[in-house]
Amino acid sequence: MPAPTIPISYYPGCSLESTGKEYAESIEVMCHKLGVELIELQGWTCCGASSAGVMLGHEGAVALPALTLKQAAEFDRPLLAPCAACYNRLMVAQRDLRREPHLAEKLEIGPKELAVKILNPVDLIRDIIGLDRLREMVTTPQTGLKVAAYYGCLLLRPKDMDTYDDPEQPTSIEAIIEACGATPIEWSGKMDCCGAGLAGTMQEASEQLVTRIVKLAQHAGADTAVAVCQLCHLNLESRQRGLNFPVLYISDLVALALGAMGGELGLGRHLIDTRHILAARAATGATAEH
Amino acid sequence: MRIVHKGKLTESVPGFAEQVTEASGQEVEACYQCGKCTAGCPLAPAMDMKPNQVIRACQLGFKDMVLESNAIWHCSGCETCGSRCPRDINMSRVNKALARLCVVEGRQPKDHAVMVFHKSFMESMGRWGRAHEMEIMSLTKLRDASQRLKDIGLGAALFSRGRLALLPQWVRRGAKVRQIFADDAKAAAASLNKEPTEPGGHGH
Repeated sequence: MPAPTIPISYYPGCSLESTGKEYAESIEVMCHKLGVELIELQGWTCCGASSAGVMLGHEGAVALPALTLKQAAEFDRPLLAPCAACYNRLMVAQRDLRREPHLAEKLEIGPKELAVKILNPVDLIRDIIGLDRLREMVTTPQTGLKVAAYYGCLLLRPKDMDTYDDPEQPTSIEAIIEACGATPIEWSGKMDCCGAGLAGTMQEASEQLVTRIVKLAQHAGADTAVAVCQLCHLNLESRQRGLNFPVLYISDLVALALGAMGGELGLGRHLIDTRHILAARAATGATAEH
Repeated sequence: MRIVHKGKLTESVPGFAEQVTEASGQEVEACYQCGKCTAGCPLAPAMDMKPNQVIRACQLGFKDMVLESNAIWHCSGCETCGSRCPRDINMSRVNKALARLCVVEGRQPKDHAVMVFHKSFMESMGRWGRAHEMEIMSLTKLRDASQRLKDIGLGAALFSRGRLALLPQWVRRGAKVRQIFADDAKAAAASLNKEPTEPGGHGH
């Protein structure tokens, strides 16, 4: 008898419908393998990302993610937001609304909305599934693959959100990498900014930031990095100069360890080919029991 | 106070520090210029005024100076500053509040392309209820000549991999988004005519 699935509300965000499509595919396959049932919020709206913070006042910028909190509160389930910006906007909105009861009242946000558990993929894997359970489920350990954990900025900052790890020296993604049978490498670029939305108009600045990050990973011996945000992923792939360093999503790594094929995960949509590093893993004698 | 800045006589504006504190939710007066924000800022090399200089100028009331800087537009929102500030000031929030003030007052932003990107993002979001990336990039390129020929190769690479959706996604709840925008515009117009009266400021 198949194990009962865990229902989780799903908020893909605008990018996962377009430039982050391969991340959506990867998340969906990973969740399927983990026994998580993703139930998308009907007709969800944009969180505002970084632009709302600049173009709207404080109230407007909080009101946008508050719309999503209201939707999610209708269900007794946590809410998965794979995009780091969406995750950050939802978490910061909950934090601000807890501190500002006048604003919460004005936006019709009550205890139910503030109690919605917002998850990013790391939370989902570590807290909902658990690392022990993940280890039991791995069929295809990614042995020999040296992986740089790239946390980026928005999952752990600002530091007074109710976040899952230390904002200066986090270790959760490394623990997941190990649970998948791969080797996390020690490196100093794991919290460094990729340039985020500025990469769209400040291409040279983003290139400098990203090329430095990728070089740090390469010098530390990484075959690849795992990202937990489609913009980080896009920037790391597209703004590196002449380094041919492939970048995976956390969900790619986990799904591969659970026996998924690269094609299902949208690996073909990545800008930098990942096949050579996945082949390298096979060459170091990793067992593949599909 | 009056100083000469870049060859111009600049007056400090009374109440500006309070205005920035209220708009950003950050205690601007608490900064004692330790410099950690600037030291950790990944975009500092691309800023004409460094983060600690921006907040100092806010403390001293030099409104024109900060609203004419590119620093407020070149902040990526990484919040490294906020995670290290010994006074718990999130400089990223200060920058964003200053950028908004620049727009509300109808001033020319120092980095036109970045402002146009944000403006296009909000327009797209308002139209459909969701941001349509293809539209945002097209509008940005149309509105800013410096962006016109940028990233054509990247766009083609994304398109050929099925990652550039041509059609936007319209959602009914977009009406609620537009209502939020309308309320915000009213609040912005009101702020130009009188001092903000919201009691107690707001959180970080």
